[in-house]
Amino acid sequence: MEVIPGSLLVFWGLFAFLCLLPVSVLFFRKKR
Amino acid sequence: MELSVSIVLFLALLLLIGVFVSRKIKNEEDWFVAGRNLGVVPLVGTYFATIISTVSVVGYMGYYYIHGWGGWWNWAGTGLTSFIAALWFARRLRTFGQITLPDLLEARYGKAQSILGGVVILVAMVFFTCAQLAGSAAVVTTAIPNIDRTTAIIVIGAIFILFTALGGMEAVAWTDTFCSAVILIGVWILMYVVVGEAGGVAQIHRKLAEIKPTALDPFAGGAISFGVAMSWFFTWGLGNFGAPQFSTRIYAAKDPETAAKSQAYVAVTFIFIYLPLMLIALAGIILVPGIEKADTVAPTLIGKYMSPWTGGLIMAGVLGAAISTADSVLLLAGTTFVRDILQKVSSRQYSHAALLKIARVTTLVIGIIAILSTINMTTGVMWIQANMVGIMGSMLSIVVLAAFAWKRANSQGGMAAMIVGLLTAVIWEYLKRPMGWFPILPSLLTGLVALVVVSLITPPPPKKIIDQFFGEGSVK
Repeated sequence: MEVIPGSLLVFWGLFAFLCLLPVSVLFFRKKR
Repeated sequence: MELSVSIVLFLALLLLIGVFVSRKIKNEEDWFVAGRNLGVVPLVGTYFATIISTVSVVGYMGYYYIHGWGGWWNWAGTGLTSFIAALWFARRLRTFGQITLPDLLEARYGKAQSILGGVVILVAMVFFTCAQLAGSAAVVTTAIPNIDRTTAIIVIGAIFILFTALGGMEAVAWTDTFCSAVILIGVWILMYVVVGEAGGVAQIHRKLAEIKPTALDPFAGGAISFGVAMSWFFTWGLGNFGAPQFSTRIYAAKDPETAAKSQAYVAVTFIFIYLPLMLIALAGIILVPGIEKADTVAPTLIGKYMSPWTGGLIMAGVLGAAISTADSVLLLAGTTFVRDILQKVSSRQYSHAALLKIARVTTLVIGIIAILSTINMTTGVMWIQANMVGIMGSMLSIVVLAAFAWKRANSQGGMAAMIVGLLTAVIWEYLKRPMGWFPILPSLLTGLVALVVVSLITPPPPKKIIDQFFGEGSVK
């Protein structure tokens, strides 16, 4: 998508981080 | 016609679930915190449905229509809450394992703090129930024009008050989960149709870059300032910890691990509602440009692109969003009265059966008060409604977080933080929100300063409290 500005990608990254980090941390903690 | 049928069917189903679940309720702990036995599914369902109110569906769709992607800042804080809760807070609060937020205040700071908290929570919850009731009535009167507002308020109020009083937290959790499913299905159908109409996700963005490039800017081309973005982020992110309708759901988890896990899943589920809401709004910019009143974006799109039956399903979802928030806060009002005010002020010992009965009757009475004050709404009541929840969060969030975060926080510091936070919020509202900040933002700052300064000039908390919250048995 050539029209998406870089700042919007960073913004999406913030949400992906907030949403996915807790699940992944709990997932890996359980594996250990 | 189809709209009326879907809404009546939906309300009947809610009542049925509530009555069915209520047969399991034996004592007051079953009623307050579902016997502390909830697994991940009802926990995620009830948390999600309580956060997602009518405002989130109708109001946010309009907000996104106006600002584009930058509008997403409004749920960044909600994401931050579940982030902190999943990784740190939930396990600690569940290990502490009482029933209400004031229980935490009593154990960590003292009885006076707990009663002050209880009274403010009770008042806030009664008014918050009214706000949701008014919202549901608005949905029903829009969908079924030949029903008047008073009848709508009484019918909807009677239904959720009945299943909340009968089934307590367990009924609320399962009806909320059902509502969550209806909200999600409704929003996803709307997204599928509207985004398809607008030519698909990629096409929508290409077009937006041409006709409204600010919709692709995280700060909406300057319409959302950095200060406002941070306001959204930290106001809800930290403020939700002072909102007992969220934090106390953690007590109902069957163990600390389930509590943490459900919060992590909640963080993921938010994407499933806020992404479709955004895509619907962006498609709306292209399909029906020039809508000026934000709240009419959702009804316009539904009216234009949905068949009566799917439209009815979405209306049921919006109504479900209101009811599932209202039942949770009403439940909390009943719990707070019995647990934090009656039991803490009165020296009498009540039996389990008596407590359950008192909790149910209180919920009925509070519900009836809410119905009456919603019918006779004045501007004064509306002002309190709009601001009371923020004021409550301003008072409680710092002390709730500090309870587990800072060993040195003591009784005097807790009291100071609560009073200063409360006063700051009230004054900030009175000054009509200088700089556009939400009152909770200055409250968090002044409350934190009050907590730190007063705690440091007074003696540290007793060893017993430090051991309970930071010692052997606590979560490290």
